[in-house]
Amino acid sequence: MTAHSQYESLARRQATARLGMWLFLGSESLLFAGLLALFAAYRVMYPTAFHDAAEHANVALGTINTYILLTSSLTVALALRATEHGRRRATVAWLLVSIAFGVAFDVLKLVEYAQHLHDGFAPGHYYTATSLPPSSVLYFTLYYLLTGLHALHVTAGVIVLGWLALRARRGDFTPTSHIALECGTLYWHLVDLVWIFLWPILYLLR
Amino acid sequence: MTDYLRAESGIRSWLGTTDHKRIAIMYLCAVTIAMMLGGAFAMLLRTKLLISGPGIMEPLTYNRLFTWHGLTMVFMFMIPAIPAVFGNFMLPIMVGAKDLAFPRINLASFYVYCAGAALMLWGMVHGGADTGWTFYAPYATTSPTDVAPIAIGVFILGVSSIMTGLNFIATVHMLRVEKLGWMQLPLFVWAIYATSIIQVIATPVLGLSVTLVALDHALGMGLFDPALGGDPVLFQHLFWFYSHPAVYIMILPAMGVVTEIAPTFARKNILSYRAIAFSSLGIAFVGFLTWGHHMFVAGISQLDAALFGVMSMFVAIFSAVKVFTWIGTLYRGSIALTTPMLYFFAFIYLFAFGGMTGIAVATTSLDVHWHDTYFVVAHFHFIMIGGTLTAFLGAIHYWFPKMFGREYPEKCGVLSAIGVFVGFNLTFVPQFLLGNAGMPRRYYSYPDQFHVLNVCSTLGAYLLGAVMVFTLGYLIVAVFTGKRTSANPWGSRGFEWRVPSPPPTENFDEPLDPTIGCYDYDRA
Amino acid sequence: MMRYLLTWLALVALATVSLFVSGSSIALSLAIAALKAALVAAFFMHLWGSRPVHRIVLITAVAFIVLLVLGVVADVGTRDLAGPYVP
Repeated sequence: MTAHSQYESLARRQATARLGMWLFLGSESLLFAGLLALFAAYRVMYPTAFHDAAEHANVALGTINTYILLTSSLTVALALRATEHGRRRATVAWLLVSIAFGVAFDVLKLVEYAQHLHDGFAPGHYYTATSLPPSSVLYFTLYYLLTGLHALHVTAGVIVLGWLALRARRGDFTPTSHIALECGTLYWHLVDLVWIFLWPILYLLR
Repeated sequence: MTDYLRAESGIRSWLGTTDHKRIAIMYLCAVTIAMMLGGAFAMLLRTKLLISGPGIMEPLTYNRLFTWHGLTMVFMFMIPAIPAVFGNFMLPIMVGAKDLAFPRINLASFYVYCAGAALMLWGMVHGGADTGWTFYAPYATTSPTDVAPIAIGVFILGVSSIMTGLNFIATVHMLRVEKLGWMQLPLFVWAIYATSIIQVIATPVLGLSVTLVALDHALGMGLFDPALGGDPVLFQHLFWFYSHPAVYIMILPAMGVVTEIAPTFARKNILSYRAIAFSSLGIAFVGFLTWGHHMFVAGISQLDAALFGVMSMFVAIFSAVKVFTWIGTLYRGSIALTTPMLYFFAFIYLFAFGGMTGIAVATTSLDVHWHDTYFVVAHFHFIMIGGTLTAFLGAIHYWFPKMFGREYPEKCGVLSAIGVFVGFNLTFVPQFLLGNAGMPRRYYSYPDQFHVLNVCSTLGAYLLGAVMVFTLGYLIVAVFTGKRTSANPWGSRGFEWRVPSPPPTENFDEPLDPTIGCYDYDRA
Repeated sequence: MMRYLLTWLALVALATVSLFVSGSSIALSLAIAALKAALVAAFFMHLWGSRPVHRIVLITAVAFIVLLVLGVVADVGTRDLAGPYVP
């Protein structure tokens, strides 16, 4: 912080960064709104097709992924707590665990996609399955778009956590100055929040 | 202390700056180029409309021109113009801060804008998009032109918009100088704040909609394809959920500008501070409830249409409150007819007129007749040119001394204001008549009975274009050779006029003292 | 520490409950999801005990997501009731 800074104190600068991060999270969540609206609309229009299509959702993998993300939210929160208590190595460890969870999530997602594609449940005009009512393709297209957009955010989150782990290892974070870490963990929690809604909507509704 | 223009020299000190004022100037150059480009597209398409039948250009060219005109004007000029130029320059000073909350994000937003604009322009050069700026499915998803790069360009421009809005909200919350409460803020700040809320919330939905169009067009996602069970009207829901609040992104900052101009040149306090401040928030929020009024005849349920019609009436109340407050501010004021004040009067008249035609088209049963005709085209140009561009020009002239430390030639300014007003009316009043008589918009040719009015409109457009070029000319000359001015040539109480013209890099030599209000003209 | 662990346990429990009861009703699934989200936001994201403006940001974002979904469903869901405009 230089003498020319527009901030009167470090605390104010950190509080501003925190607010900026929340504004960013609010904005990012709106990105999913359109897809959710489309899903809701098509479900109203084609209740049978969507019901039948949802039967083919891999509830097991989806549920494991849910537990993975919930637990990863815990581990990033513990990483932040470790920094607040000045424990550098614990911070790095918890971050690495969280990254592992994130990677596991993405891998399971790819497995699910591979399975669906193998069965001919591809998005849009690539859909070749014949076992379901015709408009079921819309369920799958939205499934790929919703989970794909989410998985992109998971991947970005993994990269952010990785960068934070490097910085933590370097000793950049102290108990009173670690706003980047805090903002990074907020981003990860958003990723969890979105999935908390996607999981029942895509996998559990009959 | 030296001013921000002279503080450091060399191209790198500009391209790598984090000074909000320099970033504002760079944005000014960019949006001015965009405006001129969008205007050029308009001149070309109006030229085609000089004749009623085929000729002058191919139909596909004409379709491209109105598409590019809309895209360039909306996304490269109207949305960023007042916030990214005047919001950037004035907001920190108006809250007593040395810079915005996130100066590097500010600079990044400029480069993201450039990237988005570049991609859009590249797409245009590649012949892209004859779909209209609204990208409606199913045409946009099946058009033979190259829609995807332009759609992604719009997405990227949207990201820039979100970055700007986020920065402004954080700045207003966290960087207000001591003793400056919310109800002491300049009303331009309230306007920018309300605009920023819309930018942050609505723009991601636009990002998604244009991405879906790009995916549909390039990869056959088929979400709006009836062959797969898709409903094209759903695209319109997603598109207008952003694009209606977007028009409030375009008008709210303009309203903020005129709210600053009126007290200065009437030497009087604003009639009701709260009316202006809260109506800005009202427009921002209620504006989100009205998007279906673009879709009355698209095939939505009539119950839904009725709901949207009623909400559209409500949102107009806030604008009306503002218009009466502005006029009431002039009552018993001591009015100086400077260029900014001429633009103020043009704004009041054109915005009120255009706003009333907005109520007209919000009436579902009437819109059935006017939808997709020139009546709607005239309505929104009254607001966008008569409202936003007029305010933009007023802002440029009002804040010219502050930004450049020089005077512009006042006689040229008066001429420009009159010229813009006359040219604008000649262009668009005939379009109300054309639309009411049934001439559809976006049509390449038209029945002969509409010929005279079309010629009148085109000649008005040429006049408007010439006046804009003239205005750009004398302003650029004045930047370099205008007579040097004092800190506060207009004698305004506004906070931005309490620092030198041009301001030093860090804005304030001593902290701003907000105990003397920014509209406090009762004091001697 | 305890706060984080208890939150996590509650989340896991709610997810498990969700697995068994969500099939029957949208309202129930979304209600449980909202509860889980509230727990994550309040305790992992520290909304509980931080400046009110952060809560306002989150609530506003959620409100507009709901608005878009409802607005679209209001159209699609009432087309049988009150059909489109036909000239």
